[in-house]
Amino acid sequence: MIAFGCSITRPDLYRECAQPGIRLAAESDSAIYEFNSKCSLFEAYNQILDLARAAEDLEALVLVHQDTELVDSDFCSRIRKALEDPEVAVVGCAGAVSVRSIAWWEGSVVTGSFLMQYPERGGGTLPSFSWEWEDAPAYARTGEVESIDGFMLVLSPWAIENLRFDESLGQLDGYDFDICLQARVAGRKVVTADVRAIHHRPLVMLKNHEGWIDAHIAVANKWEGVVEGVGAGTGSWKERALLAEAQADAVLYHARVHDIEREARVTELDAKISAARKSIAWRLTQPFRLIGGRR
Amino acid sequence: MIVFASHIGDHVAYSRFVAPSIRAVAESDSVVLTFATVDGASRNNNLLLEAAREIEGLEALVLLNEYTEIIDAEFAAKVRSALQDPLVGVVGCLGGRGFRGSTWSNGEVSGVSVEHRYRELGGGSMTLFESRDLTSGLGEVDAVDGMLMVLSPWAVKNIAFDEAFTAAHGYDVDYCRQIKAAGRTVVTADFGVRRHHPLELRPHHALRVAVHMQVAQKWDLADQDEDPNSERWKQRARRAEAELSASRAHAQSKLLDSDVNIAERTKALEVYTKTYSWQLTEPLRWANAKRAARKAASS
Repeated sequence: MIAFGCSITRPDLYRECAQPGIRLAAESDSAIYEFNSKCSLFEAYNQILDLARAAEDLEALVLVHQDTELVDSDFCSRIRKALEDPEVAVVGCAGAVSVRSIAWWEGSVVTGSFLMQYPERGGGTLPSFSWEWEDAPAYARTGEVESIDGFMLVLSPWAIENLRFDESLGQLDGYDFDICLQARVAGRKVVTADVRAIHHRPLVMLKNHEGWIDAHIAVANKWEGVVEGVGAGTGSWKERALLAEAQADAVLYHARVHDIEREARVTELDAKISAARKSIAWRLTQPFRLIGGRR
Repeated sequence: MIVFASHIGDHVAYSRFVAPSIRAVAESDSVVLTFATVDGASRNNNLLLEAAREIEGLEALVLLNEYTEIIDAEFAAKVRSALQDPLVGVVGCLGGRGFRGSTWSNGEVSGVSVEHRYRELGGGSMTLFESRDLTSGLGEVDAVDGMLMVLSPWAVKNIAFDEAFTAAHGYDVDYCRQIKAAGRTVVTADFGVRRHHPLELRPHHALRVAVHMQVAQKWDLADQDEDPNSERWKQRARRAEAELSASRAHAQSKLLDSDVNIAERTKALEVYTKTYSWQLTEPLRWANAKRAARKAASS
Protein backbone atom coordinates (compact mmCIF):
# COMPACT_ATOMS: atom_id res chain seq x y z
CA MET A 1 0.00 0.00 0.00
CA ILE A 2 1.26 3.48 -0.86
CA ALA A 3 0.30 6.12 1.70
CA PHE A 4 0.08 9.86 1.24
CA GLY A 5 0.71 12.53 3.86
CA CYS A 6 0.40 16.29 4.00
CA SER A 7 1.03 18.84 6.72
CA ILE A 8 -1.83 21.34 6.49
CA THR A 9 -1.67 24.87 7.83
CA ARG A 10 -4.02 26.33 5.20
CA PRO A 11 -6.96 23.99 4.54
CA ASP A 12 -8.11 26.12 1.56
CA LEU A 13 -4.74 25.68 -0.14
CA TYR A 14 -4.75 21.96 0.59
CA ARG A 15 -8.25 21.57 -0.87
CA GLU A 16 -7.28 23.50 -3.97
CA CYS A 17 -3.85 21.99 -4.67
CA ALA A 18 -2.70 18.90 -2.79
CA GLN A 19 -6.01 17.14 -2.26
CA PRO A 20 -7.02 16.82 -5.95
CA GLY A 21 -3.54 15.51 -6.76
CA ILE A 22 -3.61 12.94 -3.97
CA ARG A 23 -7.09 11.80 -5.04
CA LEU A 24 -5.84 11.39 -8.60
CA ALA A 25 -2.72 9.48 -7.60
CA ALA A 26 -3.98 7.37 -4.70
CA GLU A 27 -5.14 3.79 -5.09
CA SER A 28 -8.24 2.34 -3.49
CA ASP A 29 -6.29 0.99 -0.50
CA SER A 30 -4.08 4.05 -0.03
CA ALA A 31 -4.00 5.65 3.40
CA ILE A 32 -4.16 9.43 3.37
CA TYR A 33 -2.76 11.29 6.38
CA GLU A 34 -4.16 14.83 6.42
CA PHE A 35 -2.28 16.38 9.31
CA ASN A 36 -3.66 19.68 10.55
CA SER A 37 -0.48 21.23 11.78
CA LYS A 38 0.29 23.86 14.37
CA CYS A 39 3.93 22.81 14.69
CA SER A 40 7.03 22.87 12.50
CA LEU A 41 7.07 20.94 9.25
CA PHE A 42 9.76 18.67 10.76
CA GLU A 43 7.48 17.74 13.68
CA ALA A 44 4.44 17.33 11.45
CA TYR A 45 6.30 15.00 9.11
CA ASN A 46 7.59 12.98 12.07
CA GLN A 47 4.06 12.55 13.33
CA ILE A 48 2.99 11.37 9.89
CA LEU A 49 5.96 8.98 9.94
CA ASP A 50 4.72 7.60 13.25
CA LEU A 51 1.28 6.95 11.73
CA ALA A 52 2.84 5.33 8.68
CA ARG A 53 5.00 3.03 10.80
CA ALA A 54 1.86 1.60 12.31
CA ALA A 55 0.38 0.80 8.91
CA GLU A 56 0.63 -2.70 7.50
CA ASP A 57 2.12 -3.61 4.11
CA LEU A 58 3.37 -0.13 3.49
CA GLU A 59 5.27 0.16 0.19
CA ALA A 60 5.96 3.90 0.36
CA LEU A 61 4.98 7.15 2.03
CA VAL A 62 4.44 10.13 -0.26
CA LEU A 63 4.83 13.49 1.49
CA VAL A 64 3.56 16.51 -0.39
CA HIS A 65 3.37 20.17 0.51
CA GLN A 66 -0.13 21.54 0.75
CA ASP A 67 0.56 23.62 -2.40
CA THR A 68 1.77 20.65 -4.44
CA GLU A 69 -0.48 18.90 -6.93
CA LEU A 70 0.41 15.45 -8.24
CA VAL A 71 -0.60 15.04 -11.88
CA ASP A 72 0.14 11.44 -12.83
CA SER A 73 -2.82 9.06 -12.63
CA ASP A 74 -0.29 6.18 -12.70
CA PHE A 75 1.81 7.84 -10.01
CA CYS A 76 1.85 4.77 -7.75
CA SER A 77 3.15 2.43 -10.43
CA ARG A 78 5.90 4.93 -11.28
CA ILE A 79 6.89 5.06 -7.61
CA ARG A 80 6.88 1.26 -7.33
CA LYS A 81 9.25 1.18 -10.31
CA ALA A 82 11.59 3.73 -8.68
CA LEU A 83 11.59 1.67 -5.46
CA GLU A 84 12.37 -1.61 -7.21
CA ASP A 85 15.99 -1.07 -6.19
CA PRO A 86 15.97 -1.91 -2.45
CA GLU A 87 18.81 0.55 -1.85
CA VAL A 88 16.57 3.50 -2.76
CA ALA A 89 15.36 5.37 0.32
CA VAL A 90 14.10 8.70 -0.99
CA VAL A 91 12.46 9.60 -4.31
CA GLY A 92 11.60 13.02 -5.73
CA CYS A 93 10.67 14.74 -8.98
CA ALA A 94 13.38 17.40 -8.80
CA GLY A 95 16.93 16.98 -7.62
CA ALA A 96 20.58 17.72 -8.07
CA VAL A 97 24.08 16.35 -7.66
CA SER A 98 27.03 18.23 -6.10
CA VAL A 99 24.76 19.75 -3.47
CA ARG A 100 26.61 21.52 -0.65
CA SER A 101 23.84 23.23 1.28
CA ILE A 102 20.08 23.43 1.73
CA ALA A 103 20.09 25.55 -1.44
CA TRP A 104 20.00 22.30 -3.38
CA TRP A 105 19.27 24.16 -6.61
CA GLU A 106 22.79 25.62 -6.44
CA GLY A 107 24.05 22.14 -7.18
CA SER A 108 24.02 20.64 -10.66
CA VAL A 109 20.30 20.09 -11.17
CA VAL A 110 19.55 16.93 -13.17
CA THR A 111 15.77 16.63 -12.85
CA GLY A 112 13.11 19.32 -12.73
CA SER A 113 9.83 17.61 -13.55
CA PHE A 114 7.53 20.22 -12.12
CA LEU A 115 5.50 23.19 -13.21
CA MET A 116 5.46 26.32 -11.11
CA GLN A 117 2.04 27.92 -11.05
CA TYR A 118 2.38 31.44 -9.69
CA PRO A 119 -0.32 33.91 -8.65
CA GLU A 120 1.54 37.15 -9.44
CA ARG A 121 0.72 39.39 -12.42
CA GLY A 122 -2.57 37.69 -13.11
CA GLY A 123 -1.11 34.23 -12.68
CA GLY A 124 0.79 31.96 -15.01
CA THR A 125 2.94 28.88 -15.26
CA LEU A 126 6.65 28.27 -15.60
CA PRO A 127 7.63 24.71 -16.52
CA SER A 128 10.92 23.42 -15.19
CA PHE A 129 13.33 21.93 -17.69
CA SER A 130 12.18 18.29 -17.60
CA TRP A 131 8.48 18.92 -17.25
CA GLU A 132 8.31 17.83 -20.90
CA TRP A 133 11.06 15.31 -21.55
CA GLU A 134 11.15 15.89 -25.29
CA ASP A 135 12.23 19.51 -24.68
CA ALA A 136 14.67 18.68 -21.88
CA PRO A 137 18.35 19.65 -22.09
CA ALA A 138 21.10 17.06 -22.53
CA TYR A 139 21.94 16.99 -18.81
CA ALA A 140 18.39 16.15 -17.79
CA ARG A 141 17.88 12.65 -16.47
CA THR A 142 16.35 10.70 -13.63
CA GLY A 143 18.40 8.56 -11.28
CA GLU A 144 20.67 8.95 -8.32
CA VAL A 145 21.06 12.46 -6.88
CA GLU A 146 22.39 14.00 -3.68
CA SER A 147 19.26 15.93 -2.77
CA ILE A 148 15.71 16.23 -3.95
CA ASP A 149 13.28 19.12 -3.53
CA GLY A 150 11.03 18.39 -0.58
CA PHE A 151 7.81 19.77 -2.03
CA MET A 152 7.19 16.15 -3.09
CA LEU A 153 9.21 13.38 -1.52
CA VAL A 154 8.63 9.67 -1.29
CA LEU A 155 10.11 7.52 1.46
CA SER A 156 10.76 3.79 1.15
CA PRO A 157 9.75 1.35 3.93
CA TRP A 158 13.37 1.34 5.10
CA ALA A 159 13.38 5.17 5.29
CA ILE A 160 10.06 5.19 7.15
CA GLU A 161 11.43 2.75 9.66
CA ASN A 162 14.90 4.23 10.12
CA LEU A 163 14.86 7.97 9.43
CA ARG A 164 13.45 10.94 11.36
CA PHE A 165 13.20 14.56 10.38
CA ASP A 166 15.66 16.48 12.57
CA GLU A 167 13.49 18.88 14.55
CA SER A 168 16.50 20.77 15.86
CA LEU A 169 17.14 22.28 12.44
CA GLY A 170 14.28 24.77 12.36
CA GLN A 171 10.68 25.18 11.34
CA LEU A 172 10.33 24.83 7.60
CA ASP A 173 13.55 24.73 5.61
CA GLY A 174 16.36 22.28 5.02
CA TYR A 175 14.47 19.13 6.06
CA ASP A 176 14.69 17.73 2.53
CA PHE A 177 18.46 18.02 2.15
CA ASP A 178 18.94 16.75 5.70
CA ILE A 179 16.80 13.63 5.22
CA CYS A 180 18.67 12.92 1.97
CA LEU A 181 21.99 13.24 3.80
CA GLN A 182 20.76 10.89 6.53
CA ALA A 183 19.79 8.32 3.91
CA ARG A 184 23.08 8.62 2.03
CA VAL A 185 25.20 8.38 5.17
CA ALA A 186 23.33 5.15 5.98
CA GLY A 187 24.43 3.83 2.59
CA ARG A 188 21.08 4.26 0.85
CA LYS A 189 20.24 6.04 -2.37
CA VAL A 190 18.32 9.20 -3.15
CA VAL A 191 16.84 9.24 -6.65
CA THR A 192 14.61 11.24 -8.94
CA ALA A 193 11.89 9.38 -10.81
CA ASP A 194 9.74 10.05 -13.83
CA VAL A 195 6.89 11.60 -11.85
CA ARG A 196 5.54 15.12 -12.13
CA ALA A 197 3.90 17.71 -9.92
CA ILE A 198 2.56 21.24 -10.08
CA HIS A 199 3.93 23.53 -7.42
CA HIS A 200 1.41 26.31 -6.73
CA ARG A 201 3.64 28.98 -5.24
CA PRO A 202 4.67 32.60 -5.63
CA LEU A 203 7.69 33.57 -7.72
CA VAL A 204 9.46 34.64 -4.51
CA MET A 205 11.69 31.74 -3.59
CA LEU A 206 12.37 32.40 0.10
CA LYS A 207 9.42 33.54 2.14
CA ASN A 208 11.12 33.46 5.52
CA HIS A 209 14.60 34.87 5.04
CA GLU A 210 15.84 34.60 8.63
CA GLY A 211 14.44 31.12 9.17
CA TRP A 212 16.05 29.95 5.96
CA ILE A 213 19.42 31.46 6.92
CA ASP A 214 19.27 29.75 10.32
CA ALA A 215 18.48 26.41 8.71
CA HIS A 216 21.31 26.86 6.20
CA ILE A 217 23.75 27.41 9.07
CA ALA A 218 22.36 24.59 11.21
CA VAL A 219 22.59 22.04 8.39
CA ALA A 220 26.13 23.17 7.51
CA ASN A 221 27.22 22.82 11.14
CA LYS A 222 25.57 19.41 11.45
CA TRP A 223 27.11 17.83 8.38
CA GLU A 224 30.52 19.47 8.05
CA GLY A 225 33.16 16.77 8.22
CA VAL A 226 30.56 14.02 7.90
CA VAL A 227 29.67 14.39 4.22
CA GLU A 228 32.36 15.65 1.89
CA GLY A 229 31.73 19.16 0.63
CA VAL A 230 28.79 19.97 2.90
CA GLY A 231 29.57 23.00 5.04
CA ALA A 232 33.14 22.92 3.81
CA GLY A 233 35.13 25.58 2.02
CA THR A 234 38.61 26.71 1.13
CA GLY A 235 40.76 28.93 3.31
CA SER A 236 40.35 30.23 6.84
CA TRP A 237 36.98 31.16 8.27
CA LYS A 238 37.97 34.80 7.84
CA GLU A 239 38.73 34.29 4.14
CA ARG A 240 35.48 32.41 3.66
CA ALA A 241 33.51 35.14 5.43
CA LEU A 242 35.02 37.92 3.37
CA LEU A 243 34.66 36.03 0.11
CA ALA A 244 31.02 35.11 0.72
CA GLU A 245 30.17 38.66 1.80
CA ALA A 246 31.81 40.00 -1.33
CA GLN A 247 30.03 37.52 -3.56
CA ALA A 248 26.67 38.31 -1.95
CA ASP A 249 27.35 41.99 -2.48
CA ALA A 250 28.08 41.35 -6.16
CA VAL A 251 24.95 39.23 -6.54
CA LEU A 252 22.79 42.00 -5.07
CA TYR A 253 24.45 44.58 -7.27
CA HIS A 254 23.90 42.53 -10.40
CA ALA A 255 20.29 41.95 -9.41
CA ARG A 256 19.79 45.70 -9.26
CA VAL A 257 21.45 46.15 -12.64
CA HIS A 258 19.20 43.47 -14.10
CA ASP A 259 16.26 45.35 -12.62
CA ILE A 260 17.32 48.55 -14.33
CA GLU A 261 17.77 46.82 -17.67
CA ARG A 262 14.45 45.05 -17.44
CA GLU A 263 12.64 48.16 -16.31
CA ALA A 264 13.99 49.85 -19.45
CA ARG A 265 12.74 46.95 -21.54
CA VAL A 266 9.28 47.24 -19.94
CA THR A 267 9.25 50.98 -20.66
CA GLU A 268 10.19 50.31 -24.27
CA LEU A 269 7.42 47.73 -24.67
CA ASP A 270 4.87 50.04 -23.04
CA ALA A 271 5.86 52.80 -25.47
CA LYS A 272 5.46 50.43 -28.43
CA ILE A 273 2.07 49.24 -27.19
CA SER A 274 0.93 52.82 -26.73
CA ALA A 275 2.20 53.81 -30.21
CA ALA A 276 0.49 50.82 -31.78
CA ARG A 277 -2.78 51.60 -30.05
CA LYS A 278 -2.67 55.20 -31.27
CA SER A 279 -1.55 54.35 -34.81
CA ILE A 280 -3.74 55.35 -37.74
CA ALA A 281 -3.66 51.79 -39.09
CA TRP A 282 -5.01 50.37 -35.84
CA ARG A 283 -7.71 53.01 -35.46
CA LEU A 284 -8.83 52.75 -39.08
CA THR A 285 -9.24 49.00 -38.87
CA GLN A 286 -10.99 49.07 -35.48
CA PRO A 287 -14.53 48.67 -36.98
CA PHE A 288 -13.47 45.46 -38.75
CA ARG A 289 -12.18 43.99 -35.51
CA LEU A 290 -15.40 44.93 -33.75
CA ILE A 291 -17.41 43.16 -36.42
CA GLY A 292 -15.07 40.17 -36.27
CA GLY A 293 -15.42 40.11 -32.50
CA ARG A 294 -19.23 40.02 -32.71
CA ARG A 295 -19.04 37.05 -35.02
CA MET B 1 34.85 79.76 -4.28
CA ILE B 2 33.29 76.52 -5.49
CA VAL B 3 35.47 74.46 -7.84
CA PHE B 4 34.02 71.87 -10.23
CA ALA B 5 36.28 69.03 -11.30
CA SER B 6 36.01 66.05 -13.63
CA HIS B 7 38.30 63.57 -15.26
CA ILE B 8 37.14 62.90 -18.78
CA GLY B 9 37.25 59.62 -20.61
CA ASP B 10 34.13 60.20 -22.68
CA HIS B 11 34.56 63.68 -24.07
CA VAL B 12 31.22 63.64 -25.89
CA ALA B 13 29.29 62.74 -22.74
CA TYR B 14 31.09 65.42 -20.73
CA SER B 15 30.42 68.13 -23.34
CA ARG B 16 26.83 67.10 -23.69
CA PHE B 17 25.77 66.62 -20.09
CA VAL B 18 28.27 67.86 -17.54
CA ALA B 19 29.71 71.03 -19.07
CA PRO B 20 26.37 72.77 -19.74
CA SER B 21 25.12 71.89 -16.27
CA ILE B 22 28.24 73.32 -14.65
CA ARG B 23 27.79 76.50 -16.65
CA ALA B 24 24.23 76.70 -15.38
CA VAL B 25 25.04 76.35 -11.68
CA ALA B 26 28.55 77.83 -11.43
CA GLU B 27 29.10 81.24 -9.92
CA SER B 28 31.07 83.99 -11.58
CA ASP B 29 34.28 83.13 -9.71
CA SER B 30 33.91 79.33 -10.00
CA VAL B 31 36.79 77.39 -11.50
CA VAL B 32 36.35 74.30 -13.64
CA LEU B 33 39.13 71.70 -13.56
CA THR B 34 39.33 68.94 -16.16
CA PHE B 35 41.88 66.27 -16.98
CA ALA B 36 41.95 63.42 -19.42
CA THR B 37 41.39 60.10 -17.68
CA VAL B 38 44.48 58.20 -16.62
CA ASP B 39 44.57 54.63 -15.36
CA GLY B 40 42.73 54.18 -12.07
CA ALA B 41 39.80 56.04 -10.52
CA SER B 42 41.71 57.13 -7.42
CA ARG B 43 44.68 58.40 -9.40
CA ASN B 44 42.32 60.50 -11.53
CA ASN B 45 40.73 62.02 -8.45
CA ASN B 46 44.10 62.73 -6.86
CA LEU B 47 45.11 64.64 -9.97
CA LEU B 48 42.06 66.84 -9.50
CA LEU B 49 42.73 67.16 -5.76
CA GLU B 50 46.30 68.31 -6.36
CA ALA B 51 45.11 70.98 -8.78
CA ALA B 52 42.39 72.11 -6.36
CA ARG B 53 44.89 72.48 -3.50
CA GLU B 54 46.61 75.23 -5.49
CA ILE B 55 43.46 77.33 -5.66
CA GLU B 56 43.12 80.09 -3.10
CA GLY B 57 39.79 80.76 -1.46
CA LEU B 58 38.48 77.24 -2.10
CA GLU B 59 35.14 76.66 -0.35
CA ALA B 60 34.32 73.29 -1.90
CA LEU B 61 35.55 70.90 -4.55
CA VAL B 62 32.74 69.28 -6.56
CA LEU B 63 33.93 66.00 -8.08
CA LEU B 64 31.60 65.04 -10.90
CA ASN B 65 31.86 62.03 -13.08
CA GLU B 66 31.34 62.57 -16.77
CA TYR B 67 27.80 61.23 -16.76
CA THR B 68 26.43 63.38 -13.94
CA GLU B 69 24.39 66.45 -14.77
CA ILE B 70 23.56 68.91 -12.00
CA ILE B 71 19.97 70.14 -12.38
CA ASP B 72 19.70 72.30 -9.32
CA ALA B 73 19.64 76.10 -9.52
CA GLU B 74 20.35 76.30 -5.79
CA PHE B 75 23.28 73.93 -5.97
CA ALA B 76 25.91 76.41 -4.73
CA ALA B 77 23.74 77.53 -1.82
CA LYS B 78 23.10 73.89 -0.86
CA VAL B 79 26.82 73.14 -0.97
CA ARG B 80 27.56 76.03 1.37
CA SER B 81 24.74 75.03 3.66
CA ALA B 82 25.94 71.43 3.87
CA LEU B 83 29.50 72.53 4.60
CA GLN B 84 28.50 75.00 7.30
CA ASP B 85 29.27 72.31 9.83
CA PRO B 86 33.08 72.30 9.93
CA LEU B 87 33.12 68.59 10.73
CA VAL B 88 31.60 67.69 7.36
CA GLY B 89 34.26 66.31 5.02
CA VAL B 90 32.21 64.99 2.11
CA VAL B 91 28.69 65.65 0.81
CA GLY B 92 26.90 63.58 -1.79
CA CYS B 93 23.45 63.14 -3.26
CA LEU B 94 23.16 59.40 -2.51
CA GLY B 95 24.83 57.31 0.14
CA GLY B 96 24.40 54.52 2.61
CA ARG B 97 25.09 53.48 6.13
CA GLY B 98 25.42 50.19 7.94
CA PHE B 99 26.91 48.21 5.08
CA ARG B 100 30.04 46.11 4.67
CA GLY B 101 32.47 46.27 1.79
CA SER B 102 32.17 48.46 -1.26
CA THR B 103 28.47 48.76 -2.09
CA TRP B 104 26.89 51.53 -0.05
CA SER B 105 23.49 50.79 -1.57
CA ASN B 106 23.39 47.47 0.30
CA GLY B 107 22.96 49.42 3.51
CA GLU B 108 20.30 51.92 4.55
CA VAL B 109 20.03 54.32 1.63
CA SER B 110 19.96 58.06 2.18
CA GLY B 111 19.73 60.85 -0.36
CA VAL B 112 17.55 61.87 -3.27
CA SER B 113 15.97 60.03 -6.18
CA VAL B 114 18.08 60.39 -9.30
CA GLU B 115 16.79 60.31 -12.85
CA HIS B 116 18.78 57.88 -15.00
CA ARG B 117 18.63 58.54 -18.74
CA TYR B 118 19.78 55.95 -21.25
CA ARG B 119 19.90 55.70 -25.03
CA GLU B 120 19.45 51.97 -25.58
CA LEU B 121 16.09 50.36 -26.38
CA GLY B 122 14.85 53.51 -28.05
CA GLY B 123 16.04 55.68 -25.17
CA GLY B 124 14.25 56.50 -21.97
CA SER B 125 14.61 57.35 -18.35
CA MET B 126 13.90 55.82 -15.00
CA THR B 127 14.30 56.73 -11.37
CA LEU B 128 17.22 55.36 -9.43
CA PHE B 129 16.15 54.94 -5.84
CA GLU B 130 12.47 55.83 -5.65
CA SER B 131 11.39 57.44 -2.41
CA ARG B 132 10.38 53.99 -1.06
CA ASP B 133 14.00 52.86 -1.57
CA LEU B 134 15.37 55.77 0.43
CA THR B 135 15.23 53.98 3.73
CA SER B 136 16.98 56.68 5.68
CA GLY B 137 16.58 60.47 5.82
CA LEU B 138 19.15 62.97 4.59
CA GLY B 139 22.12 63.33 6.91
CA GLU B 140 25.12 61.42 8.11
CA VAL B 141 26.09 58.27 6.21
CA ASP B 142 29.10 55.96 5.99
CA ALA B 143 29.75 56.69 2.32
CA VAL B 144 28.33 58.51 -0.70
CA ASP B 145 28.31 57.54 -4.36
CA GLY B 146 31.17 58.75 -6.52
CA MET B 147 28.86 60.18 -9.19
CA LEU B 148 28.90 63.43 -7.19
CA MET B 149 31.20 64.10 -4.24
CA VAL B 150 31.55 67.55 -2.72
CA LEU B 151 34.75 67.79 -0.68
CA SER B 152 35.36 70.34 2.04
CA PRO B 153 38.61 72.37 1.97
CA TRP B 154 39.83 70.26 4.91
CA ALA B 155 39.24 67.06 2.95
CA VAL B 156 40.94 68.44 -0.15
CA LYS B 157 43.98 69.40 1.89
CA ASN B 158 44.28 66.37 4.13
CA ILE B 159 42.83 63.26 2.55
CA ALA B 160 43.93 61.73 -0.75
CA PHE B 161 42.24 58.92 -2.63
CA ASP B 162 43.93 55.56 -2.02
CA GLU B 163 45.45 54.64 -5.39
CA ALA B 164 45.27 50.96 -4.51
CA PHE B 165 41.64 51.38 -5.60
CA THR B 166 41.84 51.37 -9.36
CA ALA B 167 38.35 50.22 -10.30
CA ALA B 168 35.44 52.51 -11.10
CA HIS B 169 33.80 51.67 -7.80
CA GLY B 170 35.00 51.22 -4.25
CA TYR B 171 37.25 54.30 -4.35
CA ASP B 172 34.33 56.45 -3.16
CA VAL B 173 33.55 54.21 -0.19
CA ASP B 174 37.22 54.03 0.74
CA TYR B 175 37.58 57.83 0.58
CA CYS B 176 34.56 58.33 2.82
CA ARG B 177 35.88 55.72 5.28
CA GLN B 178 39.13 57.67 5.42
CA ILE B 179 37.22 60.88 6.14
CA LYS B 180 35.35 59.19 8.97
CA ALA B 181 38.49 57.58 10.35
CA ALA B 182 39.95 61.09 10.58
CA GLY B 183 37.02 62.15 12.76
CA ARG B 184 35.04 64.01 10.09
CA THR B 185 31.60 63.22 8.75
CA VAL B 186 30.06 62.26 5.43
CA VAL B 187 26.55 63.49 4.69
CA THR B 188 23.89 63.49 2.00
CA ALA B 189 22.13 66.61 0.76
CA ASP B 190 19.18 67.13 -1.60
CA PHE B 191 21.23 68.03 -4.67
CA GLY B 192 19.24 67.70 -7.87
CA VAL B 193 21.21 65.56 -10.31
CA ARG B 194 20.54 63.50 -13.40
CA ARG B 195 22.63 60.61 -14.58
CA HIS B 196 23.26 59.84 -18.24
CA HIS B 197 24.61 56.36 -18.55
CA PRO B 198 24.27 53.28 -20.69
CA LEU B 199 22.13 50.57 -19.14
CA GLU B 200 25.07 48.20 -19.21
CA LEU B 201 26.52 49.12 -15.81
CA ARG B 202 27.99 45.95 -14.53
CA PRO B 203 31.68 45.54 -13.95
CA HIS B 204 33.00 42.00 -14.08
CA HIS B 205 31.65 39.89 -11.21
CA ALA B 206 35.16 38.85 -10.10
CA LEU B 207 36.31 42.47 -10.06
CA ARG B 208 33.37 43.49 -7.94
CA VAL B 209 34.11 40.68 -5.50
CA ALA B 210 37.78 41.68 -5.36
CA VAL B 211 37.01 45.34 -4.65
CA HIS B 212 34.53 44.41 -1.94
CA MET B 213 37.17 42.28 -0.26
CA GLN B 214 39.77 45.02 -0.66
CA VAL B 215 37.53 47.48 1.17
CA ALA B 216 36.57 44.93 3.83
CA GLN B 217 40.22 43.93 4.45
CA LYS B 218 41.22 47.56 4.86
CA TRP B 219 38.37 48.75 7.05
CA ASP B 220 37.47 45.80 9.25
CA LEU B 221 39.95 47.25 11.72
CA ALA B 222 38.50 45.51 14.75
CA ASP B 223 39.19 42.16 13.12
CA GLN B 224 42.78 42.65 12.03
CA ASP B 225 44.49 40.87 14.92
CA GLU B 226 41.92 38.18 15.49
CA ASP B 227 42.65 34.52 14.75
CA PRO B 228 41.27 34.01 11.23
CA ASN B 229 39.86 30.67 12.38
CA SER B 230 38.22 32.01 15.54
CA GLU B 231 34.67 31.02 16.49
CA ARG B 232 33.55 34.56 15.65
CA TRP B 233 34.95 34.32 12.13
CA LYS B 234 33.39 30.88 11.77
CA GLN B 235 29.97 32.25 12.68
CA ARG B 236 30.43 35.18 10.34
CA ALA B 237 31.48 32.85 7.52
CA ARG B 238 28.52 30.56 8.07
CA ARG B 239 26.15 33.52 8.07
CA ALA B 240 27.80 35.02 4.98
CA GLU B 241 27.62 31.78 3.04
CA ALA B 242 23.96 31.39 3.93
CA GLU B 243 23.26 35.01 2.98
CA LEU B 244 25.03 34.42 -0.32
CA SER B 245 22.70 31.54 -1.17
CA ALA B 246 19.71 33.64 -0.07
CA SER B 247 20.88 36.57 -2.20
CA ARG B 248 21.06 34.31 -5.23
CA ALA B 249 17.56 33.03 -4.53
CA HIS B 250 16.20 36.56 -4.12
CA ALA B 251 17.93 37.65 -7.33
CA GLN B 252 16.44 34.67 -9.13
CA SER B 253 12.96 35.50 -7.82
CA LYS B 254 13.27 39.07 -9.08
CA LEU B 255 14.51 37.86 -12.41
CA LEU B 256 11.55 35.51 -12.76
CA ASP B 257 9.17 38.32 -11.87
CA SER B 258 10.60 40.68 -14.47
CA ASP B 259 10.70 37.92 -17.09
CA VAL B 260 7.01 37.32 -16.46
CA ASN B 261 6.34 41.05 -16.68
CA ILE B 262 8.19 41.36 -19.99
CA ALA B 263 6.52 38.25 -21.42
CA GLU B 264 3.12 39.69 -20.52
CA ARG B 265 3.86 42.95 -22.36
CA THR B 266 5.40 41.19 -25.34
CA LYS B 267 2.20 39.21 -25.66
CA ALA B 268 0.13 42.40 -25.39
CA LEU B 269 2.20 44.02 -28.14
CA GLU B 270 1.68 41.02 -30.40
CA VAL B 271 -2.07 41.62 -30.29
CA TYR B 272 -1.34 44.69 -32.42
CA THR B 273 1.66 43.64 -34.46
CA LYS B 274 0.34 40.26 -35.57
CA THR B 275 -2.65 41.82 -37.37
CA TYR B 276 -2.76 42.15 -41.19
CA SER B 277 -3.34 45.91 -40.93
CA TRP B 278 -0.18 46.33 -38.87
CA GLN B 279 1.92 44.22 -41.18
CA LEU B 280 0.55 45.97 -44.28
CA THR B 281 1.43 49.39 -42.92
CA GLU B 282 4.91 48.37 -41.71
CA PRO B 283 6.73 50.07 -44.66
CA LEU B 284 5.10 53.38 -43.73
CA ARG B 285 6.32 53.16 -40.16
CA TRP B 286 9.78 52.22 -41.35
CA ALA B 287 9.88 55.27 -43.64
CA ASN B 288 8.59 57.53 -40.87
CA ALA B 289 11.22 56.27 -38.45
CA LYS B 290 13.96 56.89 -41.03
CA ARG B 291 12.69 60.41 -41.65
CA ALA B 292 12.54 61.15 -37.92
CA ALA B 293 16.08 59.86 -37.44
CA ARG B 294 17.37 62.04 -40.31
CA LYS B 295 15.60 65.06 -38.85
CA ALA B 296 17.04 64.41 -35.39
CA ALA B 297 20.55 63.99 -36.80
CA SER B 298 20.37 67.22 -38.81
CA SER B 299 19.08 69.24 -35.83
